[in-house]
Amino acid sequence: MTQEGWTALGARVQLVVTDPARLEQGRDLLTADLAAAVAACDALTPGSELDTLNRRQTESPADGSGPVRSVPVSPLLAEAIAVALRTASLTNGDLDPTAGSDDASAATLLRPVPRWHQIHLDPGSRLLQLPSGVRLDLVPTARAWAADRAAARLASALSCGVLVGLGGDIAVAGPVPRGGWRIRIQEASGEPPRGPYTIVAIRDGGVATSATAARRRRNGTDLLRHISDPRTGLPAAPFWRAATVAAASCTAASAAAATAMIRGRHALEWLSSLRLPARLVGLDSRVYTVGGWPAVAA
Amino acid sequence: MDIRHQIGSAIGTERPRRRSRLHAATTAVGTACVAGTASVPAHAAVAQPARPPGPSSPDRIQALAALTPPATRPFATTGPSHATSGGWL
Repeated sequence: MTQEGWTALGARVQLVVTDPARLEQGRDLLTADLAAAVAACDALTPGSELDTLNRRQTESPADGSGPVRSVPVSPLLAEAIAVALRTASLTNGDLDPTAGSDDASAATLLRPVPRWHQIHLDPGSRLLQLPSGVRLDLVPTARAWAADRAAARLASALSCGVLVGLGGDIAVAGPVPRGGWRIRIQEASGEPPRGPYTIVAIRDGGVATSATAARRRRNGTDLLRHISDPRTGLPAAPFWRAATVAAASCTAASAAAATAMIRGRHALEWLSSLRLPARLVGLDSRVYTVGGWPAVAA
Repeated sequence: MDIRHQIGSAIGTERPRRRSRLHAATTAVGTACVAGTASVPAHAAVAQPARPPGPSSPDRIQALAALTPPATRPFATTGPSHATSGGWL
């Protein structure tokens, strides 16, 4: 089964529903849902709300030393920013929505990376306070958030079980198929994917994988910059080849997986403390599991 | 935007191990309904009765109070998958 041309937020889209009669309607709803997310939150889409906001920010010093600007944002962008800021807080800044916003010039790397706590969003007025020159990069959270949001909305609208996948960030909602939603965990290499894999079933929430081998670039921009260390702006020292996490939402799973990649050897302890089921693959291909991640089926 | 979707159908593979092959073949009918998959064979089983909104409901997403585990732990399984999580784009 092949499919071409359907991407959103720089990711391939997967949609599965439990009621075949609802598939076409679900596809239309998902297409519209993701288009709205792109229009609001994709900094790499010219003319998007976030692209426009960031372009205005480039008119000021990039080190955040300029005056704070107050910018009204749309409800959708406000929600995406709120999720990004909350994720930054939960990961102690490892997933910083301001990290990676700068170009990769040596001069840029030598100056401090703007920090997420410089940004404030009033959820009521949707007024965003942003230091001048500081741009936002929602890549670390936007895909998973969009998958969660779309899965929940489609399950409600279609009255059936829904799986939405965006580039491997998978969210499920609604009635569960018999035997659960079966997710193949596999590092991407080739098309179709080849190599060792494992299959697990989930009944709720989401699953996400971060992998060093999966770097892709779009419009000259590394889409997986969130695997960079926000404290230095440089790529995180490789310790894991891949990290897969299951959580109560795809947003949480994605945040935990990316953070695990950044935290390296400390990731297992951190994931265990959160009781998150996770599967990490070391550089030597050795597999480590924590948090009740299931053993491989016989 | 060039969107090409394919809708497939297949026989579900889920069946209790203690059942005979014949019995399973006459009861384990599943329906696959997939859009947007690239290469992963998709087999969706018959839906179970609706459950209350799960953790991925909009309210929960907006809150994102913590990085919490799923309500039900993932479990190992076999057979065709509905989707793939591989960290690619």
